[in-house]
Amino acid sequence: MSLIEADATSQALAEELLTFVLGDETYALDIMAVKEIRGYEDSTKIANTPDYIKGVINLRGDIVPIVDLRIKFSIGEPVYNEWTIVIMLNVGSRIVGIVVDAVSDVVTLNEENIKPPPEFGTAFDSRYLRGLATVDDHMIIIVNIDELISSDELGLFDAER
Amino acid sequence: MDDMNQFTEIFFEEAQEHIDAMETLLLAFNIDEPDIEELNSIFRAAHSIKGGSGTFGLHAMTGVTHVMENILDSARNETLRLDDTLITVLLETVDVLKNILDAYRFNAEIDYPEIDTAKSKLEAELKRVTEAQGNATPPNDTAQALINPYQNTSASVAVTNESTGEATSDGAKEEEAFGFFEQNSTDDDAGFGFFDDEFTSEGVSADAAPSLSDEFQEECYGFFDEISEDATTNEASNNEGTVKEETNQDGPLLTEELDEESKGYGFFEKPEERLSGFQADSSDHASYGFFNSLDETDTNETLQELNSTVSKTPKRGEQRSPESKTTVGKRVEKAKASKGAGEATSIRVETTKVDNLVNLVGELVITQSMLKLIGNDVQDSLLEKMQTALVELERNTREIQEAVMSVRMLPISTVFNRFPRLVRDLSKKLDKQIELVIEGGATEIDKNLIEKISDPLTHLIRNSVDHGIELPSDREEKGKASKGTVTLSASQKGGEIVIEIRDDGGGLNKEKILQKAVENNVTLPDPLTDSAIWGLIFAAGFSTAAEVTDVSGRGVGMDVVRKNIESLGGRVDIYSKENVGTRFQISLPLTLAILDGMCVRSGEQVFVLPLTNIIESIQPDANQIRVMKNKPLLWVREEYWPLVDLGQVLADEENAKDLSESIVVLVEAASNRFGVIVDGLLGQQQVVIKSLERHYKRVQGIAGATIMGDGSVALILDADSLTGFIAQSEMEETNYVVN
Repeated sequence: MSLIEADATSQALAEELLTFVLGDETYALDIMAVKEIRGYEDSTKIANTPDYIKGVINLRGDIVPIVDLRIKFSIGEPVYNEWTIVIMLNVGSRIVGIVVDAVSDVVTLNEENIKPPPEFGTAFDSRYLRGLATVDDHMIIIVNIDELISSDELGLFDAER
Repeated sequence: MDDMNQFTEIFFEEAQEHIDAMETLLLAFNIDEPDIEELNSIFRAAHSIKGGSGTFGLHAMTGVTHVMENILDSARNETLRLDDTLITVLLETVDVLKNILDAYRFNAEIDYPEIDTAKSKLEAELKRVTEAQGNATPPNDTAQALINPYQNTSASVAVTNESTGEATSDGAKEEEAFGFFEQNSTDDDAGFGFFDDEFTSEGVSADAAPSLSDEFQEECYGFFDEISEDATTNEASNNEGTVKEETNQDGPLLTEELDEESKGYGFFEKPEERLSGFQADSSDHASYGFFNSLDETDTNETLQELNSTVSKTPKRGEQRSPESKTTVGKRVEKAKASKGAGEATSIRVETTKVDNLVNLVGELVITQSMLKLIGNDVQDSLLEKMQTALVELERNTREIQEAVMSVRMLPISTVFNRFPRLVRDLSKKLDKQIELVIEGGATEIDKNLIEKISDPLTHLIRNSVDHGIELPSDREEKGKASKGTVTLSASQKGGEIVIEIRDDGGGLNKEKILQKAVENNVTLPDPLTDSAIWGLIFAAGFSTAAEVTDVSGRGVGMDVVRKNIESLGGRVDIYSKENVGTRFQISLPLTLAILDGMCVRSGEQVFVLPLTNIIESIQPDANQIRVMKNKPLLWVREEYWPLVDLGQVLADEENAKDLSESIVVLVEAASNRFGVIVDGLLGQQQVVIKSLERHYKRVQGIAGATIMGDGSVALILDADSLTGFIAQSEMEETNYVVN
């Protein structure tokens, strides 16, 4: 959803976002995209893929790819321990897991609290950002997660889809 | 009429089957040596459609089938000979029927002009043939009166009597009737008997109560046919006469009753309703047509008995006698019993239900594997018992799985059978002589695949007929038989179904293809091998046909063909030789859900190799290893096998495996044989194929993924795309040498 559309449809409606931590930065994504949150488990590697694609896991019968955003965007240290978190996302009809350092909170934001993203200065390309917001003196970076996951840059899906 | 919907749906499906059967039989019909049995079958199919459509008030269909029936009836009575034009017209009529059926089915507009044209065309043909063959028995008045029986309802009684009289005098016309007591009904697998019967009774009531509303009368025409049918046996007709008299007297009474029964099933419903158990059946799918399987004597008995019930029932009015109920009840029971004994039964099930079952079985297989794994850890005293039970469980699971899978398998002839018609029509249109040979129609294939290969196959066959086979004159010039052959074959090879479309036509024209490719700015493959050139025709918008016909040549198609087949996990290969012919070979996976696999280990990672691809596994001796261009080859069974190192191509391992320490699994893919180097074999296991593409994307060398007993994911190897790694490494090798 673009900003303008969101403006038109949900001016008054507050939006709930899930915030998560990558390295030292706090990010947020639309909570409606989140299927579930689970601990990191070993995945089955797939050869000839970029290193940020950790492999696939069995999510109750579905074979789901796991992406480590820390590796992809070179933020923080890709360590895997019992506190490492995977956020399972619904993207279109697909399920994708992203590895993050931690999940922190659910915040409610109004559209007017979201400032447009800067052109540079974040690890993510601005194409994948919806904006910035400040909550309790912390800056959170709001990610357009659909856009990011289905991007060619991540190469998770076949181009034609 | 809501209750009718479920029956109408059954009728639509059955009518579809009958139409298909008619088409197949008409195509196979040998004009020179007509087979009476075949004619009978065609007739019966037309007849069943007519009967059913009449019952459901689908008049457009009844009219057309009736005229068809006339022709077919004369043909099977050997008073008329079917010739080629007549068959063509009949086939066209079958198409019209299909359209009508679809129109009714999807509540679309019915194309009445088309129907009228078809009817008059048929009638004209019949007239032509009849005259030409000097037939002495043109269709008589009975037939004419019966063509549109529903239009004659207002004049019901008169027409009935007339047709009864005529039918009695003209035995040959007895088949005109499509009532329940018809002699053919025992052969009729369609089994509309139940409805016919009901409407027959309704018909009687209509006669009895001429004051019924017009709408209702329209439903009632079944009756007239019944009478004319009955008239073929004197006894029956006498009997019927009595009934009529009696029912006529009771007309007004009945009318009241029928008014109450707005569903208008006729008055038989009431006594039956009161029978415990029967009511449920009467609204049940399973019970349709249960009168049908009665043999002829039974039928006559039933007739009389029913008639007597008819005569009794109205007299008693609403206070029906217990005896009459019992009579009907017994009859019904008897009829049911005889059906149960004598009929090979099948049921229609929604595919979603079957799919659901397949998924559940998949889960069951996984659970069973888990149990097996746990079973290995069980200690001492329980171990043996546990193992026995687990083996039992494994066998049962496998059997359930096979049974469930077989539900989904259908012979591929269900697709193939539509092609003789296509080829016949096309070859007529294009003035070519083409014979279509079908081989391996019994090969079974997953139902989901069947639906999806139909379109690509149609494209390929059209192509072969249009572009492949030459005109007869050209063929003779080339010294070939003037009649071309298109062969459609299916066979099972390993875990694959291979479908081939072969023609003995001109073959693909290399220069034309290349020229066209250059025109269309298609990047030419390098190296320009034959198969690479043939592959060009799959590019979008590619057609080398000199002119665009309505058959083909628009250049859409081949790219769609390839896309469709690849989406099913299959491939298309083309083989062609100038003036010898072209062969399209489609390879499809046998089933989409479960496979027998060998679990192999490479480093830490487990892969599953489909058992169907495996020839054998060996531990190579040093003296079996040869080296060519720095690549190891394995000398086994008098053959050199190229090798694929699983660790290197799919497990990101740094170093090549030491061949003498490894195990080589010899694998056969569709176009190649090679060895896969692995670190160890872990055992054989059934695995449920899970799509990797559903949430991720296609990976070369991988057919899918599966969930192992411990819940982890293992990748399933795809022998065919593994061969790509051989080619790749060879190419890298060549590049290296060149550099």
